[in-house]
Amino acid sequence: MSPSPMDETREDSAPVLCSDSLVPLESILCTEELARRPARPPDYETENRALSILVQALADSPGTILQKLADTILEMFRSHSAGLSLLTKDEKNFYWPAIAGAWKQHVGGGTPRDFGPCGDVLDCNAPLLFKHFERRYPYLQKATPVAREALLIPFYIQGKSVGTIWAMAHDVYRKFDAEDLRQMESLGRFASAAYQAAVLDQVENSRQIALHLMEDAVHARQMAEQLNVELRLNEETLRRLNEDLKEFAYAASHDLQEPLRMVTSYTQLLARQYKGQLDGQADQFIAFAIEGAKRMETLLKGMRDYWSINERTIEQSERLDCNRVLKAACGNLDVQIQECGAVVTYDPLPTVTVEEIPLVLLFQNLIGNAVKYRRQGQSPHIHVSAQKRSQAWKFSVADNGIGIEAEHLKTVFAPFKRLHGAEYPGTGMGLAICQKIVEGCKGQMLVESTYGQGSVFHFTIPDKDGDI
Amino acid sequence: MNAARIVLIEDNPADVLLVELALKENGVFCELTKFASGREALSILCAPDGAADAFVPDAILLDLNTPKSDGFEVLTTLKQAPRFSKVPIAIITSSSAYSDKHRIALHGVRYIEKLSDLDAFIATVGHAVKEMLILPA
Repeated sequence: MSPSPMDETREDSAPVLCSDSLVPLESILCTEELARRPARPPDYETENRALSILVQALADSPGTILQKLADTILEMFRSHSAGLSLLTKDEKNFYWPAIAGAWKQHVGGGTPRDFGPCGDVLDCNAPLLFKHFERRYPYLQKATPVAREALLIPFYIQGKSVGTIWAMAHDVYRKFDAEDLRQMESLGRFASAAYQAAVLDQVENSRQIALHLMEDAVHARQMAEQLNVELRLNEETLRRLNEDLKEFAYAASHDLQEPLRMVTSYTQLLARQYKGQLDGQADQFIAFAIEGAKRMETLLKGMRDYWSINERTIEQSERLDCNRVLKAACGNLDVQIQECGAVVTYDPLPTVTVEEIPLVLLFQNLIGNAVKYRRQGQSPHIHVSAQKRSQAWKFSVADNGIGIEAEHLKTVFAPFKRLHGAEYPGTGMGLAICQKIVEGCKGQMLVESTYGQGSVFHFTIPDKDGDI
Repeated sequence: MNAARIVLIEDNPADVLLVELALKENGVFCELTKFASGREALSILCAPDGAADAFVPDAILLDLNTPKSDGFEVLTTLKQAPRFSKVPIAIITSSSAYSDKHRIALHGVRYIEKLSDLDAFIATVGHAVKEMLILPA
């Protein structure tokens, strides 16, 4: 807020601050005249009307109470200008928050605390009647029209004088009297109380609102923390359940092994020692029992292999030339590949950073599947390729085998999932292990297939070197 | 030729029978002392010298998973007894877990896996016991 008359005039009026040229305060005061002027009876009717206007204003819009006060004083006192001056926060100046009448244009202006009529009122802590105060305070010359007479009373808030209420006459005919002072003081008291109630309560309200908001914020933060805790608990529960499941499956696959070994060993022993001594059907029963036990053993081994991928720390990664890894995988499948005359071809493959054994197993399972699920009368041809993606290598293992029916494409990676009977023996764990290895490497795996023509298994391996 | 004195600590009678079969089929001429638990074995084997049952066998076969006593505890106790310092010990187990193999290797004893194929079991156990009787611990 820039007090217009004050600021504009300060530089100009600087010389008047020197005491030689300073008009004394007494020469611009005529307060005692109030008592000398002809007395008139208290005008309670006007006073009450003024008060009721202020009460209404307070009820309607408390924030406007100061302006309402100025308007009321202007009207009730037949003054030419009326208004309020309030100390600024730093108490160095007065500003004019509300003015009515001829000086209305000066709203927002003000006077210095130590050199102006308002300051004089506060210093005296009493009402003062000024005449031509611009004579002592030349900067007020610019605040027009000129104030012939100005009645200023202190404005108190919580017992402390923080400003003035004033009424001005701009001509020589309006002279303020004792009754004007009495009424103004009365209005001033009310305005002060109203201002405190309205404006300061607003501050209090704001403080309350701020407190509520803060409480809300604290509450929201607590809620968020609570949610976080719950989320962590859920994560923790999930992690524990997963751990439990892992342990359970691992233990089951190991613990079932032992009784199964008994079944296998003893049915074999039975066959060995009593074959031919029982009837032919008994021999067949025993053969079925042995077969079943051996099959179950294979399944359990598949399970153990599957879970041992879990146990593995896939972080034990190393720089691996995939061309070499593929050769190792094919080497392990040498017998099967030779048997059916399969041809494995591959594009130049990249170097990736993963653990070697799982990667060999991955290629081995995929190529092994391609060899196993070959079409009758068709030599298997398997082609391995790799494409650079933005942050990964996408590998593809394509075959010309029997393919997978569309409805099974989503389930082939599930543990123990088998689409075939004894014509293609297996544990149903091969692709589950593949997927687990790929996921362990933070990659993804999927299959495309045209039933009767072949399948393409795709998997990605993050390209860690690309990050460097 | 004297019969070799072999101690078998094994709780599963089915496995005891299979081990006996393996020894017989491999022509291991022996006197087999059987204990169904590690605790029982230790109470007899580690009795003070001079006790009637106290004897020093030519080989000890110890099942890793006997009840009432952890196989490794039994193994440790046996290894610490001076009178068994020269006795070859083998752990027979169905566990093929790398961690178990590793632990067994740390104890410096032989490891015999109980294979589920009968022929393989007989061959493995028989071969291992013969080696233990010929080679010093």
